[in-house]
Amino acid sequence: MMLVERVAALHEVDLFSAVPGRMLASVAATAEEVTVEPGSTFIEHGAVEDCLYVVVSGRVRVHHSGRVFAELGAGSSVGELAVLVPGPRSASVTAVDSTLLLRLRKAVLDELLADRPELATEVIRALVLRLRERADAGADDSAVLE
Amino acid sequence: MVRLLAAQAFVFGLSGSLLVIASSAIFLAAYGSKWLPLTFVAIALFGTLIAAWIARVVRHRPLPHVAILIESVVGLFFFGAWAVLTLWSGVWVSAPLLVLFPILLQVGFVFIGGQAGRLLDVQQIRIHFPRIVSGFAVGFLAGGLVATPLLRLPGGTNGLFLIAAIAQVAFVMLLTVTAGRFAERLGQVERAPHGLPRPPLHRLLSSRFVLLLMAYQVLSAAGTYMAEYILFDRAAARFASADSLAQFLSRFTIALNAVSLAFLALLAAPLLRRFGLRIGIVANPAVVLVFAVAMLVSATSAGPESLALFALVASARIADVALTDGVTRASLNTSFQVLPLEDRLAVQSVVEGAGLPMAIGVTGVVLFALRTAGASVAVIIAVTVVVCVAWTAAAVLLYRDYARALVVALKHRLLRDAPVDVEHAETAAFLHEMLGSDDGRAVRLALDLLPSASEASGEHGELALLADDPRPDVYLPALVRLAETGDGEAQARLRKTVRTLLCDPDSSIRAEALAAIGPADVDLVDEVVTALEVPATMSAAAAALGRLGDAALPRIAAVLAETSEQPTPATVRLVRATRAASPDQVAMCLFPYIEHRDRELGLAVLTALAAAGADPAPIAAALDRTLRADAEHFTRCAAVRQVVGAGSELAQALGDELELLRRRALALLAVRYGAEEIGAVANRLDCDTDDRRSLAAETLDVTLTPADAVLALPLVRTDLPLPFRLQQLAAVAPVTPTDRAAVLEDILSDAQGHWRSDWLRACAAYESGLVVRA
Repeated sequence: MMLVERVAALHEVDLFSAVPGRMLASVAATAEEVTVEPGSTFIEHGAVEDCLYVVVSGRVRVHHSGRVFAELGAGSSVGELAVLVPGPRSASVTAVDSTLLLRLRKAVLDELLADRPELATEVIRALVLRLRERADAGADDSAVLE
Repeated sequence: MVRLLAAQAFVFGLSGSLLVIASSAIFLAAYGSKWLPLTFVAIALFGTLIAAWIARVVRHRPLPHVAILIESVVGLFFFGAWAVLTLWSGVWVSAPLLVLFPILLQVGFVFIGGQAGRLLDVQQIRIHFPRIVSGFAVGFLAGGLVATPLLRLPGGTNGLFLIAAIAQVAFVMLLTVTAGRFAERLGQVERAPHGLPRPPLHRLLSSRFVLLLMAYQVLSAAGTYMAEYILFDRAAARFASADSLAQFLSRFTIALNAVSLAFLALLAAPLLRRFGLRIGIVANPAVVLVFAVAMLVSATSAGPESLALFALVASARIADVALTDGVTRASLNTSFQVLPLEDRLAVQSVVEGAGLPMAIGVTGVVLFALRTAGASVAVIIAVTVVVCVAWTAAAVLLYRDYARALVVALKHRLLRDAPVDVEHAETAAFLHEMLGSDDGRAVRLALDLLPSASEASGEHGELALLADDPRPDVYLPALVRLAETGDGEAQARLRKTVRTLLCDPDSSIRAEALAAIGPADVDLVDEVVTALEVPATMSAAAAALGRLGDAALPRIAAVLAETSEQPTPATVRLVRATRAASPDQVAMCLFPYIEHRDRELGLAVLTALAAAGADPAPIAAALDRTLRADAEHFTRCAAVRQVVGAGSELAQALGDELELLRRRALALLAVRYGAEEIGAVANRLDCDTDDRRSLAAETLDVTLTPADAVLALPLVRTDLPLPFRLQQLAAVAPVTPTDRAAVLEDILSDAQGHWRSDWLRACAAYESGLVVRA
């Protein structure tokens, strides 16, 4: 992906929608592209990680013990809580279609928030909106975020 | 973990001790000291080659694999040497073994130090590395004790190699156990962060800090080997036979390591804790220099055969080894921690592994030349004095650079500027597509990604179209971009539009208008200041004030002049907005408010002064008073919190007060030592990774003056237990014991003006039962 395409993909995500494009370019430059085949699990329940994934294309399924919590497509993100406070993943995430992801590390988000503390408000807002959406849908909130 | 590393160091020391006693005794008896300089040259040649090979290999292979392989080969070599000496009386094998000793010594410490660097953080290394090295000293001492009775037996000297080989096997086993127990941390190959190219080794080695480390190591080795040569030379002159020489060497080894152990056990850790790397790096060369000067005086006055000179030479070696093991190794190992993780071990291998052999080689050439020229012992000692002077100078420079290197390490960033390449055809097409999108968010993002006014001029037609878009969040940024290209019509239209939209009843449109305000819009200062009081426009207004720079300062000064003892949040935000103004102007505007009664406002003032880069010299006295007052308030809050007990609203409020004081101390330090440097420290102190936090604490230790450190460190080091921090402050800000009722009364009345907080007073009233929860 070109840098500008990565920026556009990140900007689609609520978490980064308020980040100015030029600053988002710095974040996009550190992101890792991950291609996942259908049926492959890229987040395992219980794994302790400190990264989040942005879905650029394709679809992913959030599930645990046979229960599906959500299916997410382009412009979604999974693992936001882990990138803020690393801990064991509370659900697994598996690609439904061939999926292209951007992986962002905690250290990058830490630096972004240190540079622009006011963005923390946007992060909180995005997380709350996400929780509310999931609550309305009757899903297990944290499972989708972790 | 520390015990395992100390055990490794023990068997390593045992093996090294037996190797040096046996090989030097056999070599000196067979060939005499005149060939020693040539062994030094061989050490340089082989040592450099081996170190270069290790530096290359550890960039691609896990450290334990490399260590186990090399130490296993060394063990086999010891067995072979024993066989050659026992079966064929091949004394020639003592020459390669003598060459091998200093190389193995350095390589072994690279392996042990490398593991410590992965398993401990920078401050733990400073505290625990002397303990690890004490294992080496005990092993070396044990080697001397084992050697003494064995040397009396026929063939006993040869037998030392067999014991050394067995110790080597134990070293390999301990390396294997450590690798298995800490597989995750030790098993990684050091790689550069994703997406960043890995710098070539020669570029890493050419940095000023690494060059100084190398100079220190080279001069240290040169000084040490000059002194050791003088010791061997004088010992060979006093003890004629191999057996008597070996007896002396084994007893000397025992004495040397006993002193080294005593120093490690009693003095090393307290000295490092109290004085840090300052003493760790500088003490060794300074002490050896003093001994070298005394040796020179003794050699010229009492003669080269005198007992006084021999005693001084032996004492110099003992002091050198005690200081090296006690403080220097720990300090140098600590100093490597400022290098990026992915390159640390490779650099350490070259600096320690190759620096020492090269120094020994140069020393060998110098000594060989001096001997060939018939130089006296006094001349050799004089050369040693010169080397020690250079070594001491390198130590001072290295310590100064260490502080700078720490800050550079802390400022190492993942987020770097990543400009979008509009010259790239596909990128340009993508941006055009975004600019033409119906989605306002995509258009705004594209406008933001256009790099600069000059480069955006190519998009003039497209920008003009967007400037006529009905959506304010699209046409305003487009107008701003057009105005930046120098389009006069766009500039006039922008000013008029902004002025109109600032009066719009919709706060989101007012925020868009504020975002379009540039440095030239000085006549809009009042409107911007007003917008600062409205939550919906507050962020945009603060950013706009920042862009207005110096033009906003008179208005800010006027607001501050009217400020009461309890300023509003808007006033605090106003102060924060001065950060982009010129340093002198900001200092003039904010200086009177550094010691403001309201601590939040004071924090904003300090933060703004630091961000603007104001000169701290003219405001030094105010900064000193503020820091001392905050330290006193810190002890007061902490003491009261202990009296009140945990869990209450008041205890929570006092905790918040401690946090406020921490932020004020960091802001004050940022004014004094630089916003970028202290900002990096503050970010890392908050970090949840031990090694980063430790690096930040180490930076504060070496950056702050003692006067600032004693007051500020207890306030900012939240990673340390509170009682310990209060103990540190006890001398400068003593805590007065008091009871709960007196505490509450003091907060409620605030007769001395210490507390200055309505919230604390409210919590105290609630705590004392004057008010009840609704």
